[in-house]
Amino acid sequence: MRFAALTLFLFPVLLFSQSRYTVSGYIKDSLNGETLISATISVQGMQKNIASNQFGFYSITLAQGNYKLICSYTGYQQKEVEVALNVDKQLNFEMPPKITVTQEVVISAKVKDANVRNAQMGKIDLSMEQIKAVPALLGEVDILKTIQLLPGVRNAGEGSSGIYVRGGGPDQNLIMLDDAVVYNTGHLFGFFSIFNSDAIKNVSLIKGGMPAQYGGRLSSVLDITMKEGNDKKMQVDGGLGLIASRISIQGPIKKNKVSFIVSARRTYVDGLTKLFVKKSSQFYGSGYYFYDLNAKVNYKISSKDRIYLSGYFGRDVFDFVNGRQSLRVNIPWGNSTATFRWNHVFNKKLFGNTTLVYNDYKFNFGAAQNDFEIKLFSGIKDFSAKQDFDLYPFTGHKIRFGAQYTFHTFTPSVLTGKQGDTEFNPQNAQVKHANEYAAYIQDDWTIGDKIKMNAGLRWSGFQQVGPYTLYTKDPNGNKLDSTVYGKGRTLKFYNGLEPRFTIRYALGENTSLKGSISQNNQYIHLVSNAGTTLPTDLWVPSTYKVKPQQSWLYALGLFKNYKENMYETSVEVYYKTMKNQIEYKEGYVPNTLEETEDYFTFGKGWSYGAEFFVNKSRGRLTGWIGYSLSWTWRKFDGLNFGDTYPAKYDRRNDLSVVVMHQLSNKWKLAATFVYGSGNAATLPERFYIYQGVLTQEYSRINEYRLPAYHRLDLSAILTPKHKPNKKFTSEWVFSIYNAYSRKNPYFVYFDQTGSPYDGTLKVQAKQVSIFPIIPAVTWNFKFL
Amino acid sequence: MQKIRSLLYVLTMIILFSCEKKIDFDLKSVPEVLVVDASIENSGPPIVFLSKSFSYFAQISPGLLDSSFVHNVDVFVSNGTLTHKLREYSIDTIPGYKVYFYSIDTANLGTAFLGSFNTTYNLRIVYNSIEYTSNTTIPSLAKKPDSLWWKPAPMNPDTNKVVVWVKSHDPVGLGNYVRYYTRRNSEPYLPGEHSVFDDQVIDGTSYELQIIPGIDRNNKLSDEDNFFYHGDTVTLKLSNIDRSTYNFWNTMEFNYESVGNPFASPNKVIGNISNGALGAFCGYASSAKTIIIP
Repeated sequence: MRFAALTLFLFPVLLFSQSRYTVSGYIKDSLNGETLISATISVQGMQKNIASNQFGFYSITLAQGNYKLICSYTGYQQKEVEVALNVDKQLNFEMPPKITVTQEVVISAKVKDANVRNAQMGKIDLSMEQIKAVPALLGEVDILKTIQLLPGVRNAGEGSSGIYVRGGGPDQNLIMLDDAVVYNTGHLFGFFSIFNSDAIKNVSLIKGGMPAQYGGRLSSVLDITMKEGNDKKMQVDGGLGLIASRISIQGPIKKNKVSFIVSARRTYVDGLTKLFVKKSSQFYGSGYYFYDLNAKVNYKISSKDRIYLSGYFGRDVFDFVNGRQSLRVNIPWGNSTATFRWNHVFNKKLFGNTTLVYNDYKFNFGAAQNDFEIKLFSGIKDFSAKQDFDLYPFTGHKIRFGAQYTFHTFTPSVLTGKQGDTEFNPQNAQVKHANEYAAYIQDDWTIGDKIKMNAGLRWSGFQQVGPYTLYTKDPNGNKLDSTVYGKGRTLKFYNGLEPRFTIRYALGENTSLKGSISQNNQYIHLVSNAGTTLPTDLWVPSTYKVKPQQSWLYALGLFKNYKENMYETSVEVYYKTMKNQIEYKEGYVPNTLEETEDYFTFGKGWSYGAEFFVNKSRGRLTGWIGYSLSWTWRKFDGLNFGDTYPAKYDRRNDLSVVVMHQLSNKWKLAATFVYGSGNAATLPERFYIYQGVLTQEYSRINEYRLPAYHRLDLSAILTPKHKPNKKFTSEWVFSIYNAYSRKNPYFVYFDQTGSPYDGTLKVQAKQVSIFPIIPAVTWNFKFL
Repeated sequence: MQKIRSLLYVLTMIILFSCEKKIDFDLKSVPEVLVVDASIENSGPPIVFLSKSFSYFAQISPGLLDSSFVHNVDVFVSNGTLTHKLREYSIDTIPGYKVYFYSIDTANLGTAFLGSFNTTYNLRIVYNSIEYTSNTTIPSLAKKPDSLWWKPAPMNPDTNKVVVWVKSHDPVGLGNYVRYYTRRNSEPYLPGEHSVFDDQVIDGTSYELQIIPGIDRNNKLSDEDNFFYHGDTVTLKLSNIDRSTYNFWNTMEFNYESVGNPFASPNKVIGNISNGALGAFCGYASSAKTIIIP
C-alpha cells in the first residue's frame, strides 16, 4: 500500500513535460568504443547536468532553444556540441582519451565536483588506471585491496582481499560482476581477488545510503563492470608476473557493431613446486594453482537495442598426495557466472535493461586413502532475472524503477563415501531452495540549486520453498517425525519495506552537507567460525529457524572542494544498527554433517564512527588520505555470557595514505602507507592440566588486542617511449610490498613445549607474520 | 572439515613466507576454577581427579602442578541405588611427583560399586561450600573391534614399519559414539589425536579403518613416526560413550588443534560439570583386541 502511494507521489512529474525536447544517446571512448559510465553532460550557462548510466546512456530534457552541451569524463578530452533543440535529438559522444603526461587520474567520483553536487553519499568510482598504479602484493593488481585503502573499508587481515564495511561482516557486501553476484571473491584464501584487472572496466563502491536498486546485503555494494571489447580494432594485452600471467584478446567481430573480449589468468605455483618435488617423493603430485577466465560479447543491434553476453569462470585447485599414508586429496573450488543483458531505448526518456543471470559457487573435496574414498560437495547456485528502467521525465528528475527475482539453491556439505563394495550414505543436511524477490523505485530529484535528494523505496521478499522435509530428531540426530513440503511449497516467507533516503544541501559553490537514512534486509548469510573467511564457509538461507538480517544506517557528511575541485575533502559520520546477526554457538566443531543452522546463535550488532577523506585529483601528484575512527560491537545472548564484545573487525584507527607521482614521460611512482589499530583477539588466560596435558581456556571474546598493523608499499612503472607506427607497447611495474619489512601480526598463539612432569613445560606467546618485504616485477604489454 | 582446514593451512604456510617471533602479552589474572576429570568404565571403579586452574606462567614447574591438586573434598558418586563417598589417594608417578585422585573408599565397601553397562551415574562434589554436579552413562557395548590385521607401511623405505587395520560394525541408528586408544607393548593406553567419532558416515555398516597410533600430547611424534613396528604387540581399546562425553572430547581435541591455527577460532570446551567447573564426568563401555606383529 505504502509502495503504491510512493509511486503515485513520484509519477506526477511525468505529466509536466510540455514544449520541451530531449537529447539522449550514448557516451563512448573514441578509440575502443567502450561505453563510459558516470560521464557528465552539462549545459553551458545552466546548473543542469546529468551522468551517464551503467551502460553509458544519458538523457536530458530542456526547453526549446540553442544550447552548448559539454561532455566530460576524467582522463578524456572534454567535448562540446552546439545543439539547436527544436525536436528530440539523439546525440552520441565519442570521447578521445587524453594521452599526455599530465593525464588526470581520479580516485573519487568521476564527475569533477560530483562528490559535492550529488545527493549520493559514500559512493566511490575507481578508475582502472588508478587501481593499476597502486603497489600490489607480488605485483598482482587487486581491485579489492585498492578498495581497502578507502575510509570506512577495512581488510579482513594481512594480505586478505576480504572487505569489511562500516562494521559489517564479509557477507554483507553485495559484490557483483556484470550484475552476477560473486559469492567467493578470493583465490588462495583471499590473498588474491578473483577479478582479473585486464578484464575490468569500472569499479564502483557504495558504502552508505545504498540506492533502492540494490539490496539483499546490509553494508555495501561493489559493482564491477567488465570491459566490452574494442569495437574498432583488434587488441592484445597481457602481463607476466611473479606468480601469474595474464592475456586478453579483444576486438571487433563486426566493426562498430559486434565486439568481444576474452581474458585469462593462471598461476605458476604448481609448476614451481614440481621442480622441487622429486618423482620418488611421497608428496609427488601435490600442488596448487588458480585460474580465471572472463569473456564478453556485445552486439549493437540498432541505435535502440544492444545485447551483452558475459561470463566468468575461475577455480582454485589444490592437490595433496602423501604416498606413505596412501592419501590422495583433490580440492577444487570457485565461482562461475553468466550474464545476458539487453539494453533497449524505449524512447528518448525511457531506457530499459533486462538481465538474466546464472551464477554459482562450488566447493568440492575428494579424498582417498587405500580403498576408502569420501567426497564432499557444497555450494550455492542462483538463477536471476532483473528488469530495470531509467526514466528521465524532465530535467531535475531521474527515476529508476524495476524488479528482480532469484531462485537460489543452497547445497550444504553433502558427503558420500565408499570402501570397496560398501557405500556410505550418511544422513546429510538437505539441499534448500528459495525464491528472492524485490521491486524498487527511486527518484534523483534536484529541488532548486541548493537541495537535491534521492528518495527510494525497495520491497524485498524471501521464500524458502520445497522440496524439503522437516524432521523432528532426537539429540543424536535420529529422525522421529517428518513433514514433507513438495516442490515450490512455502516453508517460510519473509518480506519487508526498505526505505532509502539521501539529501544534499549546498552550502556554497563548492560545499555541501548531506544526510542519509537507509534500511536494508539480508536474506542469505555466510557464517564462519574461522579467523578468516574460507572456501569451506557455507552460504545459508533464511529459514524457519534463521531470520533475515536487518540494518539501519544513519549518516551525515560535509563535502568541500578546493582549488577548482583539485582537492576534494569530506567528513562523514555514521551510526549503524544490525539485527539478527549470526554466529556459531560456543563449542561448535566443524566436523558434523548435521544442519549447520542447528549450531547458530543470534544476536545484534552496532557500529559508529567518523571518516575523513582528502583527495587530490589532478596534477602530476595525485592521491589521497583516508582516516576512519570507528567502534563496532556485538551482543549475543548465547555468547560471552550475554555481554557486549567488540566485533572481530572492530578497528579504532585506520589510516591510508596513497600517493602517485608522474615523474616523467617514462616513470610513474606510487606509494601507499596503511596503519590500523590492532585486531581484537581472544587469547588463553586460564590454564589447567587435564589427563597430563596442559590445556588452554580462552578469555572472553575479543578481550585483547594484537599489536598495530602498518605497512609501506612502493611501486614504479616504467613505460619506455612508444615509437610511432609501432603497434607494440609495454611497461614494467616494479613493486615492493612491505618496504620496511614490518612483522605484522597475522595471528598469535600460545605455544607449549616440554612436559609438565619434568619441569620442562614452557608456554610462550608467538606471533606469526606472513609477508615480509616482497619485491616483485611485472611486465605488461599491449599489441594494438 | 577440520582436517580440510588443517590441510589448507599447511599449504598456505608453505606457499607464503610465514615467520614467527616471540611476543609478550599482559594477560589478565583471572580467578582459579575447579577442574574435574571424572570417569567410570565398565567393571572399573569411579576415578575423580580434582585440580585448580592457574593463570599464565611462562614456566610451569612440578611444584605448581603439585599445588594445583585439590585435597580433602567431599566427592560422591551414585548409580541410582547406591551413593558412595570417594576417598583421596595418591600415587608416585615419577620421582618427586605425586598424583592425587579420589576413588572407592576401601574402608567403606558396603556402598561401593563398579561400572556396568547401560547405567547412569551421578557425581556430586562439595568444594569450598560450593556444590558441583554432573552425570554420565556407561552405554551398552554396541561397537567392538571385530578383528585386527597388519600390512607393511606403503611406500616406506623403512620395512620395519607397519600399519594396523581394524574391522568393526556399527549398529543401525545414530548415536553410537566411540573413543579409541592404542597400547604398544607395555606402554599405557594413549588416545588418538582425534580419538572420538560419531557414526554419521558409517551408520549401520561394517567398515575397515587404518588405526592411527595414539599420541602422548606432551611428546608428540611426527607423522613420519605414525606407525607400528614388527615385533610390537598392539592393543586397540574401543570405548562406547554417550553424547556429552563425545562433545567434551570432540571440543577438547578441537581446542588442542586450534592452538597455532589461524583458520580455527578459539574454541570453548563443552564440559558437563555444573557451576562453572571445567572438565567432565565420562562413562566408558570398553572392549579391547590385541594383535602381535611378528
